[in-house]
Amino acid sequence: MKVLFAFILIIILGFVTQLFLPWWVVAIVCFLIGLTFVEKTKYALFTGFFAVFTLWGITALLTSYQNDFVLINRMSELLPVHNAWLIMLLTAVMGGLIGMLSTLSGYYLQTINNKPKRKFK
Amino acid sequence: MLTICLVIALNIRISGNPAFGSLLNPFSGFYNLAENPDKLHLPLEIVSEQLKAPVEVFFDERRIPHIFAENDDDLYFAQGYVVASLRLWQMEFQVLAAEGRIAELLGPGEDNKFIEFDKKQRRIGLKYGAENKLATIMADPFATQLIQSFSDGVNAYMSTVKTEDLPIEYQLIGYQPEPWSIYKTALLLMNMSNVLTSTEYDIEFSNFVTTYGQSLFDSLYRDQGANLQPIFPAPREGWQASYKNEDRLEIIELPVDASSLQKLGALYDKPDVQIGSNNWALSGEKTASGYPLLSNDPHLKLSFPSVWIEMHLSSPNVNTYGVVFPGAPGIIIGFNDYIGWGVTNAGRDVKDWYEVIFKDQQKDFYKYDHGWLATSKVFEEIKVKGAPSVFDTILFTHLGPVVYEDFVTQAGNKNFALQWMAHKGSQEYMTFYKLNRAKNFEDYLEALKFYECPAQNFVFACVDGDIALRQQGSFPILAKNEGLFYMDAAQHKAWDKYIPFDEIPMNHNPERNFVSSANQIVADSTYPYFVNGVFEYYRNRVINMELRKMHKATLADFKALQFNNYNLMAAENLPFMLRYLDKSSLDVEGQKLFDALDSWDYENTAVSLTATYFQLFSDAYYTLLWDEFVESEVPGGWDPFKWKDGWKAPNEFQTHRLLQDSIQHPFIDNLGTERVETSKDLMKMAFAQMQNTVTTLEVKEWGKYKNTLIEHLAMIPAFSTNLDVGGNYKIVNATGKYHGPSWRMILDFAGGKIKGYGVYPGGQSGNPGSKYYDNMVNEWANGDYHELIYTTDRSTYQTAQFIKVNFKTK
Repeated sequence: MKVLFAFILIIILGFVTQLFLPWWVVAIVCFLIGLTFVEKTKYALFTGFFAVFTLWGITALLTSYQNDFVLINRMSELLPVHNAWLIMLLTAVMGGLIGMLSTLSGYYLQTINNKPKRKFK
Repeated sequence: MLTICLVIALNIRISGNPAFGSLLNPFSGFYNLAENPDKLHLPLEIVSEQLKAPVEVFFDERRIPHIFAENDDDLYFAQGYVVASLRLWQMEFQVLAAEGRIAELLGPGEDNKFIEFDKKQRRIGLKYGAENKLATIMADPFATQLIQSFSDGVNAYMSTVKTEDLPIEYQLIGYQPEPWSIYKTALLLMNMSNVLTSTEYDIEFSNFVTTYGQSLFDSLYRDQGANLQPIFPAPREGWQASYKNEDRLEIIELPVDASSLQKLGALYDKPDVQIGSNNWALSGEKTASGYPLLSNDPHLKLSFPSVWIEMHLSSPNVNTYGVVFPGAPGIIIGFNDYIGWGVTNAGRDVKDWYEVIFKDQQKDFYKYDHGWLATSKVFEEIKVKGAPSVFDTILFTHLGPVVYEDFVTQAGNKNFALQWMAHKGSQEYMTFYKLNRAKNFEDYLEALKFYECPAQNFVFACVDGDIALRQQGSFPILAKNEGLFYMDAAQHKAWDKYIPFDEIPMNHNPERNFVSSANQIVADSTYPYFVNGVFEYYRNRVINMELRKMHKATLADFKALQFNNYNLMAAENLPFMLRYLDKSSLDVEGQKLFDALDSWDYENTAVSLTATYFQLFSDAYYTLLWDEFVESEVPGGWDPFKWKDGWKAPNEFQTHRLLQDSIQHPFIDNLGTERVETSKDLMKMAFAQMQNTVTTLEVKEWGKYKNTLIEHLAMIPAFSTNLDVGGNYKIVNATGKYHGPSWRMILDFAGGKIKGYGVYPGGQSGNPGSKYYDNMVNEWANGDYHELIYTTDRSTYQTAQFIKVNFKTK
């Protein structure tokens, strides 16, 4: 259950903070979640990756959809991969990697600190 | 640690590539610029303490702003604000390029090409000219207020934009915009002068005339031919002239050792000669409505964002509609409730070169008359991204800046100074300010009195039925042949006398009931002042032929004429070119090509195969004929050859005269062969070359072969478009490979009320992430026009297809 909670929390907090703060704030969010809510290494990997993957992927998709895919098509020529879907996938994967690594970092710090089991908060 | 590294790595720029994290994240990266086509790019309410009264701006379905202000200061403020919101990057990039600051943005470039570009811009004096224009503006409180209001509007918009909302080019290149200023508007106008008055060949002609002699020069470069049609027919009562050419006492002598220029260092590139324009007007005598019709299409480089932005400006003092360069206030080509106007380039030579002899290596003094004059020096720092600045010292003479310094020639190093009309402070903005408000012919004339450079042919029509055409600009009074070749700085004072206003040619309600211009020569040889320049020979004659035929003309006739694809050059020359060939000596494929050319209707339509054959054929004999001047061939390129530095081959018109008139000529002989070629041999060789190329072509249809390119200003292919359309350079529908009608406008004065129709190859937005970046391109290509809305009745704008923005005072 806590995994799902962490997943949703990253998405919500990541979305809200990125509206107002620079994009890399999502890494801090994931780090903090990793520090507090994640219980296993594989959960950290899984939750971090898929939460930001979903957040960035859906945002990229919705933004492009309301734009009739005008810009994403041009950017796919520019980068050049010639495939708009691939660019959105790249965006999502990049977000996923950032999410995964930062959640993992948070989790590791938690485990270091928790050697003598200590409650957080 | 790894995470932090990743985040930092994604947030910084590595070796010129944009930062991936900053660019690709969907919150502040490029996705941010993905505009919803149904929403406006601006908030619906804008508050500014700089406004005196509220302003309403209605954006229509094409995002054309209709600006309603209660006074002119607010009008130009809002214009600046709106233009910046649509075209910020373009406005600034054009100006930075004019100022010679490209290396500052892009680094030194391949072989330091950006540094060299910047150096050139500064040496030819674009900054110098802009500073002179700025001084003229600042000396005039009225002009200062006008342009300052516009500039304040631009800056007000800029102050609201967050970094992540800046145009994508800023994100890709990685820099921030600077505040706008009057100086930047001056630079923009200077840049247009540079584009429109830079085609001259003084040094090339000097080289030719001293190598081959005056009579060959005259026959190949100066003879205009008998059947040409100057813009202004000679008046029956004769021309007026207050000055005679002899009034200038200097005798123009040929440069003594110019032939030793043969080994020249590289001259700076000149603008493409394919730049040009058409305009014409019919009086009510020749139209169905009994009122005038007017047309204008300026042919400039086809680019994204477009050269022009379309606007409607309205205040209690003015109600005008048309297009303007992003970065200048007012309307440049358009109409108001009473008059319409449009421009074509005059092509007159107002750019002359002088050899400067310095006293010594210090270059503190140069020879003038029998003594020495002091040079003044301007130090220039060219900033280079990622590298140390480059410094340059520009020397100024009484004539202008020394552009080419220690320029390597066979006769040792030479220095050339430039005298250029564009360097002078002038008040062109007043012309447009007054035209925007003009009500009749007298107002039009009054407006043009302020116009000096780049000289244009201003077409005019009025709801009262008047039509007119006038060439307007400052033209120095020259001795015969003055300015054809480079001159001696020691013997020339700066231009001081100009052709009086009343002696510049004009047509006002002429008997033939039409006026027209298409960059041809201004007047015939009876015109008393010496005229030099680069002129067009074909478009104007097709236009005049069609206008003469017109009777009860309508809008449809004008649309058809703007799209006229008749290739007069082919029609005049192909028959004799084919006669030179012996069809029976050709193989089967060759005979097929021969027959295609022989039965061609001379229409350069998009689907024509023969138009492609003719283009290849004429490129081939042109290169073979002028092989003396060809440096190297560029196989597969659109321009199939590179010319030698310091040489200029005669134009196509002179080439055809030569081919038609002479079977044998020193130039017709091809140097690459042992024998002496005649026109017939040349044609045979050219035909074979053409046939060879045709077999290698993947696409043969003219439109696909030409593959017209609308290119992004920073040459980013993903933001550019190719089109399959007809027309070409030298054809009325002047859509070439890289140039074309940058704004097609037709005005119908029926019933004494102007209806405007227009379209341009682009869109109002400079944002590649907007539907309005290129939404008019297909309409433009298909020949569709928009009816232009310019009513002051605001209820028109209360419907669903308009989005209203309220500008409020604080």
